[in-house]
Amino acid sequence: MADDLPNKFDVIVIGTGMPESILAAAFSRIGQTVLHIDRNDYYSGQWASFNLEGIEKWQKQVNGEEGLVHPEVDLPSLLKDGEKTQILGLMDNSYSNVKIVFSAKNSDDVGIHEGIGDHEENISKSSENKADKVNIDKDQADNKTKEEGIGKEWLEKPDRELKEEGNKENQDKDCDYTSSTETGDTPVKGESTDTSEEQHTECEASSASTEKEDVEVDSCGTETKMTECEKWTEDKLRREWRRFNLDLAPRLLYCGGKMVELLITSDIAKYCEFKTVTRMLTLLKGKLEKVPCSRADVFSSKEVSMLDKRMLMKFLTFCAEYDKHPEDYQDFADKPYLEYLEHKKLSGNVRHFVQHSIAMVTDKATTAEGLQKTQKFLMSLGRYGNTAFLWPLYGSGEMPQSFCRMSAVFGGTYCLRMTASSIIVDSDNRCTGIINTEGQRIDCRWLIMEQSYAPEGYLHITSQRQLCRCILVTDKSILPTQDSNQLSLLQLPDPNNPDYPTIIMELPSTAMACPQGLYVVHLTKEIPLSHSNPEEALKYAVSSLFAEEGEHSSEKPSILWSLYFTQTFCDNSVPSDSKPDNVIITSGPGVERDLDNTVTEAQGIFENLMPEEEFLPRPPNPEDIIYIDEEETTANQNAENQSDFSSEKTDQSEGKVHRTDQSEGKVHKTDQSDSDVTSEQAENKTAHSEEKHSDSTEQEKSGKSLEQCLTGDEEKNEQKNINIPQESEDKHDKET
Amino acid sequence: MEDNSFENHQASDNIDHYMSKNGYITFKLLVIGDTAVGKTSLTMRFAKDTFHPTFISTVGIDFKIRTIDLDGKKIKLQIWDTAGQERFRTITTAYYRGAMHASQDVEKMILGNKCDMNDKRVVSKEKGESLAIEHGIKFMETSAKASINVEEAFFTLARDIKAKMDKKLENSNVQSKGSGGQQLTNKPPAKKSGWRCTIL
Repeated sequence: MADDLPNKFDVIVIGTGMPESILAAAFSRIGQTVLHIDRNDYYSGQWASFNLEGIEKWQKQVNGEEGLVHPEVDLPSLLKDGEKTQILGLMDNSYSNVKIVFSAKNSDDVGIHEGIGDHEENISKSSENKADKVNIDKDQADNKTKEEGIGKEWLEKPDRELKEEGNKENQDKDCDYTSSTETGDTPVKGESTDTSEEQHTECEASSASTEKEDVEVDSCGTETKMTECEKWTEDKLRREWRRFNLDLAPRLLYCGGKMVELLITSDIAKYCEFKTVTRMLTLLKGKLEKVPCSRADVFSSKEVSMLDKRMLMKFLTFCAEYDKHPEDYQDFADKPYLEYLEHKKLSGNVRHFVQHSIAMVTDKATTAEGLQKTQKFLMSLGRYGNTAFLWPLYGSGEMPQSFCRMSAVFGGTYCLRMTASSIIVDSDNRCTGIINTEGQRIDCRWLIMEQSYAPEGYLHITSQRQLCRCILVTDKSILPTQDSNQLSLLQLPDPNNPDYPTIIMELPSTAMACPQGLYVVHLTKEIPLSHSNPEEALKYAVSSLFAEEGEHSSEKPSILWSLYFTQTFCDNSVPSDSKPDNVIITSGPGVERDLDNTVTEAQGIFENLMPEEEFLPRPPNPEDIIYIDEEETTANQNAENQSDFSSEKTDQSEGKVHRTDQSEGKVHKTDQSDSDVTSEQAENKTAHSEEKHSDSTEQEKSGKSLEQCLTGDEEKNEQKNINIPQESEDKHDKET
Repeated sequence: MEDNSFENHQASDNIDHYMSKNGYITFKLLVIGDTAVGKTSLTMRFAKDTFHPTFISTVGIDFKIRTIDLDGKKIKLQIWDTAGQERFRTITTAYYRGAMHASQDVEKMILGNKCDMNDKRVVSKEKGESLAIEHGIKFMETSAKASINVEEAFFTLARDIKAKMDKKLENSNVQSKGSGGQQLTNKPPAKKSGWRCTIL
């Protein structure tokens, strides 16, 4: 199959992880020829999502089974004078201690009823998903009139509202609490009794809801069929294998972050769908609680006393534009954030909320970092509802693939299960190409490879780090509510080891992570390199939230399936001198929970290599692409081919559609063909320039509508799948 | 392999149909098949009523759109191209995601393209038909070049989707919506990923 793989590309990208895929799309987009390959037979590499069978296969692969092998080649015949090769390892050695356990056992009495159960589930699942689904462009339309912006709720709303609220709840206490905690004493007391009462009520409510569930189960129990459909066995899990999407590196997107921005400006958003993170949880005194993040949350929260509400409000409002008041925090900038929070006189609970749920930083974090993260969180609220985060449906492994699709649409060539067996370098230590695992020499001008593919000598491993991961499939939510589709995020500090908190994400079936009725829980924690037992490292978190094996607790979720592994990654790896300049090494997934650093990394690499080019501009409307028949293009190409690679073409292309692959007929910018412009082309030329024009206006338009799409108050959109807008379609309508 | 002709390939699945804001119903159609069988040509013939005799590999095309009228309803057909990823069988999920999961029943159809080149035929009509019967889906021979059956094929598919959808809407009042994508999932060779199943 490699026979018709061309022997030359501008860029060869090895690894289909997140940064590599962004780069492949960016290069294809400006008309560079891109070959994108991966050692695996699936996309996304260390960022992949697997179904139940896929992840078992992955485990085998990690253990060294079914790897690629170096081809037998007659090296001298492939190399030019002065060239030599650098052999690469073909395995990914980042993973170890991989262990999969089916805790759900098979029982003998599993009858035929199960099938019926499955069927019913599927039906309800389908209807549920449907109801759940929403396109963001719709939201946009709905919200056009609203002027509320991202995070603006924390910027613009006058404090008055708080006071009004305060008045209502706490009639004669409209005094300024901010300056002294002492005066707050009395109200605190008063409040705290209230709060405890409220908590109590809440407790009752939640236990009531648990009871209710139990009742449901019980009533089911009277019918044998139903009991069996409630019961998950290994067989049943395996039967539903396709419905699982389990992430090696689960990642969220900040609604106001760089990835969301990039998806929109590049129009790659049309390939993805999201669900909002519906609640931030925290473990306070052994009990899980929902953290109030938005104004509405803070007001309605029963966990926070009136005084704390005021303090939290005031503090968050400050954080939303803290950078405008440097005098306020400058003295603390390099001191721990916790110290600053204390200085701000926030109570223990509120400090906990801010640190672990909003800023999500460790005890070590400085005030500067803490404030920056707090602000980022706040600025992400309100854009797509009452949440700061989006979760990609079907798993974060979809994200790199969306960029790969864009690359392919712009001519990128994709080959999985193929990698570089060796890199060819010339006497000036420049990379001239690779020999792939099928023994073919392929030349390139730039070689981009993910860290795990790079030869050791190319990396100065200044700080190798390690994280441990655990994926659980459970039978109930860690904090069940009436709505079984909550998508929860939680940072759990380990009291024995506060520098390494555990990040926990719980995904319901509507996140397309698992069959209905189940939850997928991701736990991620950094551990020192000296540790090698992920189960041990995550024991505190797992035992705090889940039932022990064999324990039939009605409160805590039972674990039906689990996967543990450790993964090494490099932080700030400085390239060594032996690395050729035109070989670029990208990072694998680390501890971060979002993708914004990855966007920064990829964009930095691109802009460094292509300083004149725009990074992933919005593509032209497919309706405006011009076709030229082969006879015509051949003539053009002859001219172009003289320049060999496409540096010249690159100059010409202004990020428009543009085909560089020499072998076939293609789409071209018409401006390139001077010699044989047919009348059709002449027409097209006009069309094209018009298109350019409309393209840019469209971009502006989309920028605007983005702002318009900000939902102000948060009521809506919880629980909805989000489709970031497809602007261009309206245009199609008009045209057709 | 280029010029031989008849291709097995195929077309299409609807996916997600949803009412867009202007009240149009949108169907997503995927065109799946080997390289050079004429996926893009079929799409271009249908969407633009044009044909380019030479091989145009697909660059810059995500999908083509044509709005048709069915029983007085405007229906927007989004016809997705594989973007050359079929070449090494590396189609991304971004291409078929919605089809496999979101909406349960995917409507399928097999097309044998280039039926104008009868002398170079590689698949007999009977064989095509029996394949279709085996999988319980419709079959048509088309020619993007001679404009044979292209309209018919896309309209037939659109009509089938719409019929299925209307039925679903009726049932949806009773809360149970179609039984679902299962026919896809249950197929034994489903190992890899769903799209293979739809290639047939």
